[in-house]
Amino acid sequence: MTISRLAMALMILVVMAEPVLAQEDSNTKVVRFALVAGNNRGGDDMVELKYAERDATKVASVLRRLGRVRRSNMRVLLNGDPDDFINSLKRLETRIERIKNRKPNVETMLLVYYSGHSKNGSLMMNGSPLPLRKIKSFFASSKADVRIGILDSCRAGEITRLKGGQIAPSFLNVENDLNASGQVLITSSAGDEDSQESDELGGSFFTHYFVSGLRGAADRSGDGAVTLVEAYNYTYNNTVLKTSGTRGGTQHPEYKFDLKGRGNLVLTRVNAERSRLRFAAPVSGDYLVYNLKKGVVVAEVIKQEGEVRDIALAPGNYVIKKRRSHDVLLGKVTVSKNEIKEINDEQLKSTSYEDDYTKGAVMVKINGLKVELGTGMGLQGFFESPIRDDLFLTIPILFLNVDLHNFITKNLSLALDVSLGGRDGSVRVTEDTDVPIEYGEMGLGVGVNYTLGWDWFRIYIGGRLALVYIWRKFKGMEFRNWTPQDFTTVSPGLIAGMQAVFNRHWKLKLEGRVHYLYYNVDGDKSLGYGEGLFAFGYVF
Amino acid sequence: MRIKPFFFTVMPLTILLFQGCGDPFSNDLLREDARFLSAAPDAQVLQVKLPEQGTIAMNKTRQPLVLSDDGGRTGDDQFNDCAGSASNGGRALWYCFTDNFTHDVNQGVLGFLDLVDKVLEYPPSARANNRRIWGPWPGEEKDATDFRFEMERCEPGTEQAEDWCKEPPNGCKLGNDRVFYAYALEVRSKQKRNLSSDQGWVKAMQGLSVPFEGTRYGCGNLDFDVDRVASEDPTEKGKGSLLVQYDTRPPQADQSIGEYVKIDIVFNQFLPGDADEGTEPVDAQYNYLLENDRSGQFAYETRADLDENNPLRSAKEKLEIVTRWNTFGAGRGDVRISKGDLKDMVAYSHECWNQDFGRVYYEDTFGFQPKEGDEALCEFESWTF
Repeated sequence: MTISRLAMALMILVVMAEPVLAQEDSNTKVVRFALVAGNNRGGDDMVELKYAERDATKVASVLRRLGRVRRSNMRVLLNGDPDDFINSLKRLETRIERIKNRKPNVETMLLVYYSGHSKNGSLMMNGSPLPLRKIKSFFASSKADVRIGILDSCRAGEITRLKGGQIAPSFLNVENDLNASGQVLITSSAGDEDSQESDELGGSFFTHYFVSGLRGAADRSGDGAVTLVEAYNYTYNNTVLKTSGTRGGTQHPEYKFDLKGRGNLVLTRVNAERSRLRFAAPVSGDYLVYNLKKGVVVAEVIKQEGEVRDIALAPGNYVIKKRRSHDVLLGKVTVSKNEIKEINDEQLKSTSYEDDYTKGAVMVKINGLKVELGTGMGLQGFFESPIRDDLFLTIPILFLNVDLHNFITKNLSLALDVSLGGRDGSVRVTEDTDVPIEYGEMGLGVGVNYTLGWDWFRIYIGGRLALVYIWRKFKGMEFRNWTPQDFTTVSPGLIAGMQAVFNRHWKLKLEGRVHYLYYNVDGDKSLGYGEGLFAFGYVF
Repeated sequence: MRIKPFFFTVMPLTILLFQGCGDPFSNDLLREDARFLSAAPDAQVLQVKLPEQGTIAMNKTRQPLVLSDDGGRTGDDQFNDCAGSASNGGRALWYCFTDNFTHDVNQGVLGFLDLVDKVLEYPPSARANNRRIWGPWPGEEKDATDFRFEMERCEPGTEQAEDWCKEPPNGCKLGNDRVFYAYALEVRSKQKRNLSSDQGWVKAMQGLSVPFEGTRYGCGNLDFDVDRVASEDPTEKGKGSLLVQYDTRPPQADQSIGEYVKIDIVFNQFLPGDADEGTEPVDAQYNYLLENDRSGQFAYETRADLDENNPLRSAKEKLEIVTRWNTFGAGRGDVRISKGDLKDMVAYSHECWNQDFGRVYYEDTFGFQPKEGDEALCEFESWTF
């Protein structure tokens, strides 16, 4: 931490110590609004983030549970566009104006949180920029009494990663002239720094400590209310501390503050949640609280002996981890409804680093889940002759597919498809007699694909299991009344394909499939067939 | 998604959902059915086909004869019409007679094969190794019996369900596989539906066949016993039995070679169900030969009281008719009447016709019609009798 940044942190403490913002006493009604946005994908030339959308979800959750932001007054925007962002802001502003018009004495607070890429003075959302001046302009014209902007905009690495592909000026540097009344702007890093994500924390350093602070870890006063100043200080100190040894370099959050006499602004109240973990006065150190079922780090408490910290949590099972120099202490606790569970080191068990079962527990399991709907056509044919001539005919097929990208892990997709095909043909039954038939096939497929490549072109390979239903009806004079024949089997196969990605939504695919089919009616036969497909895909 | 439950519950259930809708997906099954079908007697193949007026026989495709409705007229009426027509420049008498007679055979005598064709329009109701069963089939509402058609492939050295496989059909040359087929059209009174599906059936027709190279043509014989039908169907008016021996070969696809059809029928006290009231059962022999150059020959021999209107001459004469025709339809008919009331006398009739079936020569020895034309114009110079 540099001297100048320490001075900056001290300055904010001095300013906030004054009653610049109205204390929320019982006579003052404050209605809170929030727009929480997260974008893993910045653009084609940017590394896709792992945790930005998840961070947004965490912030939204804590604001709702502890920050008294009603669900109706909150917009959560994941993987949205700039237009979505601005439209969401406008909708919230409409609600704010409506309240101000109806109840002039009511104070309103608008909190805007964004996690994702930024570049050249713009937030980058799905390849589209949202100039920060637009947000500035919006803040300037907003009727909300207090506007808080929190921008966690950065990159990634080995265990930590840089958010975004390029170093970009931070928001605050762009907004140096910000002096509107009742505004707070906080960024996760300085203008010449990258912000970082951590696989161990399952999120960005900044948001992790910000959320932990809001849950109570930042409540230095111990009054059960986490103010903006407390949250910022906790976030600043721990972000700087924990990023000092990372490849991305030390990350320094920054702020721009102008609240003009409105006193300490309370962001969350820990006692809004009656279920809590209490880290009692005697314990000290760095404690991580995991919800392993959800695969998230709920909070991190860094405390000194003599302080008491309450962390507000939903009832449930948690794992507490305390890092020590030679080992970790681990313990499982259950927090019941309305229970305040006290934590001390005696409850935790010494465990070697190798046996730390929380390692990897918060790695992203659903990273950038994208649903793709596709349709196309192709040709199916069996390799063996004469099988393909008079038993399983070569046919055109139409199909629909739903791909769940990144469903299993990043780049590993679950693919579901249904196909239908058929044509008229004939079966030779005697040396000079062909029986006309109507031949059809329906397939239901499920597969797993691994995709690699670039944003504009990708190849993928995978396995597919198909439920195949084949039938044929007889036509012509002699066999026209014959009972149709059918055959059902499960057919495993391999697929490979390539995609040309036109834009965020549309892509063109060429796919080849090779399948094995076991046929056991006219003797036991191991058959193979291939499918060549051409498809369009739309990603939601 | 939990993969394990998906595989062990959803997939089998889905497969079951699709199963059982149809027959097994099998070419072998289809081809085996086709082999049985090819061995079944075919009414179309066994139809007697004569040259038709205004066409060159060689170029004709295989079509059943299109003949005018006889409007319930008796055989005598039709014969008299033929006689009157021939003497007035119409169709020759014996060609006309042959045409009418073969029409009756096609429609009335071999008509029961249409029933077989109808049954075989449907897939077998039971399949076993070397065996197929079609039906039971209720026929029409007015029918008093159910029908069933049963076939068995007879292979040397194979254990067979019935003894009908002991001997191959007489006069038929077996292929290298030595395989022939036995079949039966069975009837059972609808009153017996309470019996098990295999009980109570009576073989109305049974036969043996050797199909020709997987086509509906081939060689075989069949025995149609009307009396057996009558035992299950009290409304049956027909009597007697037929023994049919046939040998047929398909035409070339380009019609450069026509089909070959040889049919011999023996009538034993046979009376068709639609015969006129008072008609006597017939003992007769019928031979039909169609060569693959479209020339042919028809022969008919029976004992009948030709002068049935005269009660004083009631003995049955022997009637022999032989007609022949060449590729283009021009032909000759020779008739011999002997025995019966003629005693030691023999009467003859000879007639020739051109390819338009117009009479070019006629002469008889009993003054039925006056002599016409010149025998030198006959395509066939030699007399059969």
